[in-house]
Amino acid sequence: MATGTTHTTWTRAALPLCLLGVLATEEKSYGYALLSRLADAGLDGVKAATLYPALTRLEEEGAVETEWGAGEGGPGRKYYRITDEGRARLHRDRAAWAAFTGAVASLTRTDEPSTAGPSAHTSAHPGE
Amino acid sequence: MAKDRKPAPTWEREEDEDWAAAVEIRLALDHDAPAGLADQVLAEAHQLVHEEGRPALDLLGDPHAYAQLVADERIPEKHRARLDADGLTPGERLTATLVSLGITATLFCGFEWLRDGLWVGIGWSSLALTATVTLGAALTGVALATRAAGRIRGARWFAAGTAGVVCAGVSGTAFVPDGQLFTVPAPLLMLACFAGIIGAVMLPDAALDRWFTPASADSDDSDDEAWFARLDGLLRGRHALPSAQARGHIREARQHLASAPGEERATDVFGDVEIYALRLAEGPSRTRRFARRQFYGSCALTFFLLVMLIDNLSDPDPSPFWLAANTGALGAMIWILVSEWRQSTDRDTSDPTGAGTTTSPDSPS
Repeated sequence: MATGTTHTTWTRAALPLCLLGVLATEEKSYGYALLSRLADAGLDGVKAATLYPALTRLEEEGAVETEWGAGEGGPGRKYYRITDEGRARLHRDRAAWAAFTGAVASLTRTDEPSTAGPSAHTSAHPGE
Repeated sequence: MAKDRKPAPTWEREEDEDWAAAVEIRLALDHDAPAGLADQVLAEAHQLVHEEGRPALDLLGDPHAYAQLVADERIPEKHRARLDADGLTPGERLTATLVSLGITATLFCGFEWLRDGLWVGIGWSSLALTATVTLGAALTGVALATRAAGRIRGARWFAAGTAGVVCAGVSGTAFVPDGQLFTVPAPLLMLACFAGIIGAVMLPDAALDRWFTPASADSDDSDDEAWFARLDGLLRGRHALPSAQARGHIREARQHLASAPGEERATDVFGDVEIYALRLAEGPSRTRRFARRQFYGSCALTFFLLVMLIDNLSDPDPSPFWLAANTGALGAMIWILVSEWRQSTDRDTSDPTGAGTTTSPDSPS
């Protein structure tokens, strides 16, 4: 798999967590501003075509709530605010993410070539 | 996908075999899975079940949910974006309606043969009624296909046409002369219906899809309005979003475009309109939305069956067969209505993946 594709896949997997993290630091925010915050943090691979569906899913899952406010000379702006459920999820997912990255780091830390042969196990999880 | 089809794995438990069959059926019927995907997925599942020594249901969960998970993660977005709630493209939707009509007509002719004998009498009224039902059902199929293509206004015109044909046909039968014109053997009628089914199956789905799909609004068309109109149609027609929700997504997208510097077009920012519509629509509320839409369709069918039953009961010499058939069908529809209403209001009916945004790695961001 190409590195660019890999990074895109990682970004997408972590996007809901990142969005909750940003929203937890602000009273409310809107799509374009969230995209700018992600880009400033180094996640410049996130596009509007991915951001808004992710926000929509978070809203359907009850992690964020929305309200419409006035835009600047254009159509109304949709603001997102994290809910209590979203904060609880942020705490849970942050801990899980830390454990996950720790596990990946422990597996990729060594420079020694592995002596074990390739695993014969084929995962049945469709995402793998 | 795999070009050389491997033999199906032999499951050690009967319950695992049922689980595998359910996954395969759901992948084929609900998700129009590409050839070979089900074989590949089931071979992997079989290996895992064999190694772990536990039933597939315990290990991999509900087959319906597992098929959904496979579809979300392994079927490319471009393929899934073309499908409606039942895993059909607009062309396949029309074909399915015509095939259903042909099967129903064949069965009806068979019942007539059993009830009245080999020769079926044809008069002006039966001709008018047959023409009305055939044209009405065909127009309904076109209306459903047009809606699945995201052409809401077109679907409304075809639905109005259906209503017009039914009203004209029903009122027209009062003015046609009574009496029998000629008789035909029932098997010949069944053969004609069967030929209709074959004809419907032979229809080229790809060509029908092109006919239903409007000219691309996301390639060379620089008109953002066309892109937004197409998005609105797809969200409401193909993905069953309420109008207010669809309008909200479009308003937000417009706001984003207005905020962005430069003169970027909607297609540059949001990409392929069909894929963007899919991404917005495939959240946890998807199952509830489709169940609600099915509920409305079932309401219409229940009303039709009720009218048929009342017609049966008001007949001075009612046919016991049709009375029993109508009563049974109405009872079944009421049971289906209750089930669909529960599903459409169940807050726990969520996306079985329970994961974050599910997008294929090979799709553009």
